[in-house]
Amino acid sequence: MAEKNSVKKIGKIKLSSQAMNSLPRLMILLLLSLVLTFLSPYFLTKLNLINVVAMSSIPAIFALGEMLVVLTGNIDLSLGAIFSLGGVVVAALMKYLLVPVPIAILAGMAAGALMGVINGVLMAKVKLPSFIGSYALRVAITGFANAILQGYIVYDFPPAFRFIGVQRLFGIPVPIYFAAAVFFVIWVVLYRTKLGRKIYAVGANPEAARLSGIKNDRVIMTVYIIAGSMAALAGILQTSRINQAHAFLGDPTLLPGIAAVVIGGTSMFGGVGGAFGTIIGALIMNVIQNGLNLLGAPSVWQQTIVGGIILFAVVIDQSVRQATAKRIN
Amino acid sequence: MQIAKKNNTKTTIDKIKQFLNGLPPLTWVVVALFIIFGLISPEFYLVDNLVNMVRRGSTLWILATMATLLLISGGLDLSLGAVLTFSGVVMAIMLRAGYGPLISSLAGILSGTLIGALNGLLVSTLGIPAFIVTLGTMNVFAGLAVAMSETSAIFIDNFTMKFIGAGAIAGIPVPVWVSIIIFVLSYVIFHHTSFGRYIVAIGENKLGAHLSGVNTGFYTFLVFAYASTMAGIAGVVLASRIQSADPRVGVGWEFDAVAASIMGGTLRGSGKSGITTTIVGVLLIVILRNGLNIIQVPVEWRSAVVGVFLLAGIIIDISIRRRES
Amino acid sequence: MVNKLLLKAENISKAFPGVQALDKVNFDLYEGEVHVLIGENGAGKSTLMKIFAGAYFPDSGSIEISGKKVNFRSPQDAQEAGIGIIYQEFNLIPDMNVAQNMFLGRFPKRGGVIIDHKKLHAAADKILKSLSLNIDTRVNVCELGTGQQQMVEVAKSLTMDSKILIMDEPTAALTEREIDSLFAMIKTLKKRGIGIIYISHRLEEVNLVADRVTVLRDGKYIGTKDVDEVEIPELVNMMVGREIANMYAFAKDTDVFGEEALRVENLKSGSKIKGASLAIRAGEIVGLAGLVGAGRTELARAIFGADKYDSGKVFVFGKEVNPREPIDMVAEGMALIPEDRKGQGLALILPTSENIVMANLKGLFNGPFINLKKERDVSNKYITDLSIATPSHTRVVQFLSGGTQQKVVLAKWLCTQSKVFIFDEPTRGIDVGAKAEIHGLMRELVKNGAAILMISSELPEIIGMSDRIYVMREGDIVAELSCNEATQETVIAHAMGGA
Repeated sequence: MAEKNSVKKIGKIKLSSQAMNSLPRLMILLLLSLVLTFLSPYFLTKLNLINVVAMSSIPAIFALGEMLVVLTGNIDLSLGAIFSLGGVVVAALMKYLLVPVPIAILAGMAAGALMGVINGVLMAKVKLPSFIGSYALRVAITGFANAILQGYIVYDFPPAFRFIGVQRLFGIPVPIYFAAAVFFVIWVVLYRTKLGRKIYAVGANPEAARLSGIKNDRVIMTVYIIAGSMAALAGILQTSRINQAHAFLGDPTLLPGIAAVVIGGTSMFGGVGGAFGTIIGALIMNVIQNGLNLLGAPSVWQQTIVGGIILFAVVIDQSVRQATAKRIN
Repeated sequence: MQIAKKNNTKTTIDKIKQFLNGLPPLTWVVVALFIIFGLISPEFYLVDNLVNMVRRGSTLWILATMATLLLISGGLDLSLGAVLTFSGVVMAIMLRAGYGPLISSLAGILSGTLIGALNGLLVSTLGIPAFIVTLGTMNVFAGLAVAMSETSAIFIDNFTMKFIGAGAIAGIPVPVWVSIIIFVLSYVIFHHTSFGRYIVAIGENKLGAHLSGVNTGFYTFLVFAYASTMAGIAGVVLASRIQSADPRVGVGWEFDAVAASIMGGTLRGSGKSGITTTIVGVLLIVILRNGLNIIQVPVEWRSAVVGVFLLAGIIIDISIRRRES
Repeated sequence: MVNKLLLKAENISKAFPGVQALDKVNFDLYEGEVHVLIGENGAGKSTLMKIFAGAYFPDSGSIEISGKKVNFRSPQDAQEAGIGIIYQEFNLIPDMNVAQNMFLGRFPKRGGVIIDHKKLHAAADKILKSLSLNIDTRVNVCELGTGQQQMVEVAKSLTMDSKILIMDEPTAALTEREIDSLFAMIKTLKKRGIGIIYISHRLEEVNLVADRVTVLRDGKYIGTKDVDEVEIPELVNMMVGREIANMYAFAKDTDVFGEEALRVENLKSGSKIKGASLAIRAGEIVGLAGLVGAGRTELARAIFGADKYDSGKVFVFGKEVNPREPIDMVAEGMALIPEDRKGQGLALILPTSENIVMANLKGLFNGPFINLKKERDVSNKYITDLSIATPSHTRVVQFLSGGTQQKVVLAKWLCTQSKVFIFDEPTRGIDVGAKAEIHGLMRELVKNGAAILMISSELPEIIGMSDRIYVMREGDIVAELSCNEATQETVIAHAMGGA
């Protein structure tokens, strides 16, 4: 018991040093919120704020998964397709095979995990560059998802299923609970488990990690599996929320997901980044999108704006990195 | 200390053997596909279809050659597809606004140059990974293309542009001429100019090149600018060919370009394959997509098949290289 | 004949955050001389050279080239002033041919744009001939051996009409024969009036190649001596501020060796390893000598499971292991301290503590979780035991000095309680003081029952430290020398095939 307490205590110190690192991002989030409050009277209403946090839950789950992959120095461009696949599998199982809801959900996540295995095999065993391999897989997965539903869109899900996306528990939308649980698990994995250390090691210097006896392939496979499951879960929640499943559901989620990871401070080179930062990144992305909606910006500009945000975030992040490196040198 | 000077006497058979060995392994897959598709559906061999493939291939060839140059230099450009679309839209809008074909085309091409310059600037001065920079610009300009064209295709109704798209000189379609010229230009640049040599140097030993006095920042920038300019030309030609600037066309082409480049053997030693073998990858993709259409594979399955095929192709190529080394 | 003064640097100072790298250093160089610069790691040699090469700017002080004051703003400025520098890591482009590499950045062109290949190769051939080198300029650099690449580097600097040549550890990767060629080339260059600044950690070379020697310590200029007026112990004294008498005076008290710790039977791997067999026992330090390119590092990596091999058997304490991944050997208690400590030994952007525990996560922590307190305590223990110079266990390794980084690598493996160690060039590029510490640590290890296989290209080190020496030549182990048989001559003879 004493051991556990000291872990907690040191845990608190570690948490605050992470929070310290995330401080600039937190400030950006608050700043954005301030600007939006100023620009639109609806922003600061309780309804809207809960809405923003709830809306951020699903992308947050998605982004946390992507973050794990990026931490190892790879990228997963298939997560958007896996997002769709989650919904498609759940829909197909429930509608055509009459599988009970909880099992369908688990099966959906398992499908995501399976895609993660394929990703892992491609990257770790065949040693494809991850942006190529995962992009090709995305094309393939979207194709298969489309083939499963024969090109149709599935509607009208049973209320038991819609519970997880739409209902509230003690006044708080259910997706937020999922997001909190995922965050907790990923946080523990990253900072309190051997796997977490290995993830950072592989991202920081894969050869040194391998020569230290770490099985890089296994670590990479694991992160892809987790990311795939998270993406599928996010897709399932989204399907529940909007009552639709089809093969292209996840297409618009990949980009904001990567943006959230980048804004959250995770380096594309691997080895740098954290769970808390990613959550803030997801929140920032959603606040921006929420703000754009409130301001009436046409949806056709969304792609441009998100692309611009990624550029902006990466430029700022890299400039800061360069400035500190210059000071050291 | 001596390295014997190479013995230059080779018989013709030796030379043929050497040529065949130097071909990317996937060349045989290309040949196989060509035969198989034709066997399943003889319409595949119709002249019209073949010409169609050549036209489509010419656009992809330009992008793939650029992708090869970029990969050799250690970079990557995911925005090439967006440039393709965007430049076409810019040209179409200019035409519609009453400007002449020359100015409109130049505007389109220039827009490509500017996008490439932006990419190059961010990558070279800030050291941001090319992947994420071009992911950003890809979305910015793909989105802009959609917004500027108000989501629908803009029709092009101009004689000169029609000629560029549909005409032929000495029996060869103009778009193919454009591709050939761009290829020749790129070949000369790669093998016979400092720029081309620096592309190899930067890709293999950037620090070493820098210390030898090569302005690595500038040349990194230049590769992106050059690639996007050529993509801009390709976009203008493409829009002329389909006689419209469609904001949905071009999506995913950057991936096809990179896949073609890799399957053409670029990830092997850069100086060895250069940019010539890229065409094999281009042929593979063009024949594959066209063939699936001809033999009437259901639409929902097509992208799945293409995805799997491309994956397989890349995996095979990389595995073979690895076994060789 | 009065030799012209080529370079005169006065009161050069340079500070980086937290450290004064150079503190009012003086240096000068005459035509036709070789001026060697020595000092411990962190003494400032590399910083000074980079300032001369235009890669760094001094905070204060002045530099005159041939009597004229200069202010370099970039490497190009230094090049134009006639200063050429050859770094330890080659700056060659593997997939470009020799001539293109030599003239990188300065290709002769027709019409200003198209490269004139004929002219290029003619000019390159001319320079190579003048150095008595017989290398085909049309060959791609990747096909040359390390020694030949070094020669190309030297030839390259001559394409720039350099009057001053800076060489940073030029012999680090060369065989004895190649070193002789290099020294011969240096003589040729001297005759042409070129002044050479030569950095080396190999004190034996000072007598062979230098005219004068300058010593730096902690960024300060200690002194300059004519080489015939000074002996090595005095130089060492100047470098470290204390006398290190007899660097390798270890009582080799262990004739009592333990059981067989590592045995390799007929290991073959491609063309690099043609059938190597060796065995080391607990308590032994066994050296693996040979020319660069003989296959020693390849053998070490194959034994450790870092590279795949074709056939052969590997036994650890009698157990047949035949590794396919490093984890196979790590699990049996084996450790590899690699040649490239930054690239392969450490995760530079991670903290010291995470690097230290990296290889033994399984042993330190039960179950899937990490105990932060234990991680901290274990790290601090090794930081203290090995005198690792770091302000805290959370310090990111990137900011530590070379010798300190090597200690972190060592700490990582000590943490695994390994029993069999392979050290690949353990003290390369490390100052005399830290060198002695690491040697001491190695001695401690074997005293406590470990077995060490040590690869080193420094003959005094390998002869001084080893109980036995295997000599490798072109992929084969050609000799096994006992402590008494091993002299510099016999080792070289076997390494080169003249025995």
